[in-house]
Amino acid sequence: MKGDPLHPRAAELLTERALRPLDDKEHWELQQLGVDDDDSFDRAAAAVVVATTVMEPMPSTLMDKILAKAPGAGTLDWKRTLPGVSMPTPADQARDTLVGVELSELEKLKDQPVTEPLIAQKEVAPTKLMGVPSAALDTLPPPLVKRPPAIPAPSLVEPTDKPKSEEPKVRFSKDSSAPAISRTPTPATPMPSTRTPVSGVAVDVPRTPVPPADVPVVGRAPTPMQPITPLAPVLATPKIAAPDVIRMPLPQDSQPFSVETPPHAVPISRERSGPVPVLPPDVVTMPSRDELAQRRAAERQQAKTMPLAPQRRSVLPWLAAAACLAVAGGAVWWASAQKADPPTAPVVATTPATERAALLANATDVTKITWTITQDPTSHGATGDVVWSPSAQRGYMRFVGLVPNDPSQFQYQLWIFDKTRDQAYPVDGGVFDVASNGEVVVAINPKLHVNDLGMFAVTVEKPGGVVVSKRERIVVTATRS
Amino acid sequence: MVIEGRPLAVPTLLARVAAGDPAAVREVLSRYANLVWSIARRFEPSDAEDAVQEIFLDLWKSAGRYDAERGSEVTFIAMIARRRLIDRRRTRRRRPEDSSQVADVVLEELAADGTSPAATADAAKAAHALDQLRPEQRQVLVLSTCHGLSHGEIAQQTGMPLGTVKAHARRGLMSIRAALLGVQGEES
Repeated sequence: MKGDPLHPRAAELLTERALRPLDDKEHWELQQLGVDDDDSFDRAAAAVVVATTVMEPMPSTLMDKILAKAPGAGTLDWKRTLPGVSMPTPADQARDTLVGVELSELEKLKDQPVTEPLIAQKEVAPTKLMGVPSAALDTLPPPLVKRPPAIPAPSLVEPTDKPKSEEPKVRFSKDSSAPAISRTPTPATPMPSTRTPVSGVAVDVPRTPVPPADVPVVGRAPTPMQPITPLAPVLATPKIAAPDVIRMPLPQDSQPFSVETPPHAVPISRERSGPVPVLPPDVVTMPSRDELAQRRAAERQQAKTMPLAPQRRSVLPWLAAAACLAVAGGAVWWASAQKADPPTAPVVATTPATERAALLANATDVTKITWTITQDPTSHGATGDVVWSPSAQRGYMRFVGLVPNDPSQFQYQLWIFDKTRDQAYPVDGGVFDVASNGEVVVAINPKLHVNDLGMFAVTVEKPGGVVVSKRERIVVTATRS
Repeated sequence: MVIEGRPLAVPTLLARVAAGDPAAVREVLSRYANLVWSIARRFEPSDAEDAVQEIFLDLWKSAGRYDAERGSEVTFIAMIARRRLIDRRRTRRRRPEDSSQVADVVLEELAADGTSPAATADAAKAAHALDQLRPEQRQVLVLSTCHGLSHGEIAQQTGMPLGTVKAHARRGLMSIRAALLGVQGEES
């Protein structure tokens, strides 16, 4: 075993946290000690709970309620995503199409003339094309599925040979060093605009609602597929709508083809620092200089009226020292008085038997119940009874003929069943030993108040007793009628 | 071609819950519903239904934090349950009409049919460590951890001085933790 390097104060605080909620100061102290995330004490407490819990079946109606509120029932969305972005279900998620594709097959395709499309004639998402060699892209046919015409939008890059009303598309072209992926935004969802050319990639999202198709087109690329980087002056013009253009350079490009943007896709800017939204004037109000001056004056005034802590601190040690001296003096005086005046009254030795007799003689509410033996070999031929006083919360067990026990092997343990409590959880009456076959009287010392006595039971347990008895060996019982 | 590498980790049941697997949710309920219900019954016999629902809501949200290397699943779930129940008890204590709840808390448990779930490694170690404690230490620790009694309430119920109760609870829990971690704990 190795030693535990935990700081003593940290151990103390973590223990307390496992047993009760900490206050703010204690939380702060834990953080300062750097052990705030140590949950070993919580797990220890939980393990104790698990080890000592008697299982009860949960009501089925409650199970139904929990299931109704569980994830997957539609009432609780516990997934955390980007704000406003709904995650597709696993079945809808686009998968990497290269999984399962042998690279050797792709290498072969590069060398031989392709007569058949590499990818089946169906719609593919843009993400499925990532990593596919350009030679393979050359073979891609246009999609066969007829799509509805997209909403026309202006474009800063206006290919000379392309109509304006072209649908959302990804374009790859051989005759350009900087091909473009153009995506027409949905007019109903205007987004804040960010526009940053990053390594030849320009991601444009409209700052203002997309204008109708008849808005004059501004901006023109020098060559059809070359990105335009000086866009800031254009955006500075308030009436001009910025189109949604994504340009990606590809080493080799094939004939153009189009794919449809998923309807739930959200344009994401690569620019980290977006434009700061301007709040209305009534949202943020800064105090004036006069107000600030008044506040400071009030705080200074308040500080002047506060009591000075150092004065109190300087007196406390002296008071504590005086108290200690007084206590020490009193102790010395008491000790000397004890020596000078020895007790004259004789000490009467009491035994459980005499105490039992006294209880029977004096208490008016004593209940006396005879033991009922069981099949356990320790109780064969045993007799006796138990007396109990509810008002005194005391009682005594008397046994005759109970088998003596070796405390190193096993001990007897008493359990008290209280009618006002759950019968699965009897009160521990403590462990005891039997030294001889003769009469043995044992005092009962319940750990909790017994409100309404139901039954006594004695079990055989391991030395020291147990928290949870398996009730494997019940010796005697005494049931109150 | 054989690619050598680390084997893929099988996601734990709670990891599947965190990933949104409805089947995992049902499996968690089938495995641990009775345990959570039993724990809640000990803390709050009169309001266990509400407590259990809150516990499972917490569990669905916290499932992603479970680390199999730090403890068993059942211990993690019991830990979530305890925290929620302690929070509820603290809130309840602020309401004076509920102060009588303390008197209803019992001390020891007697397993009726041997169904105490000490089957997991953590629980078995904890049970063994509990048996090593002195009876009064064990008594205080069970009252504190399993029934959520405060130190003051335990002192009132058992007649022990408050300082003794604190010492018993602290040393007892440190002994259990040491047994779980395999480190040398404080002398009990």
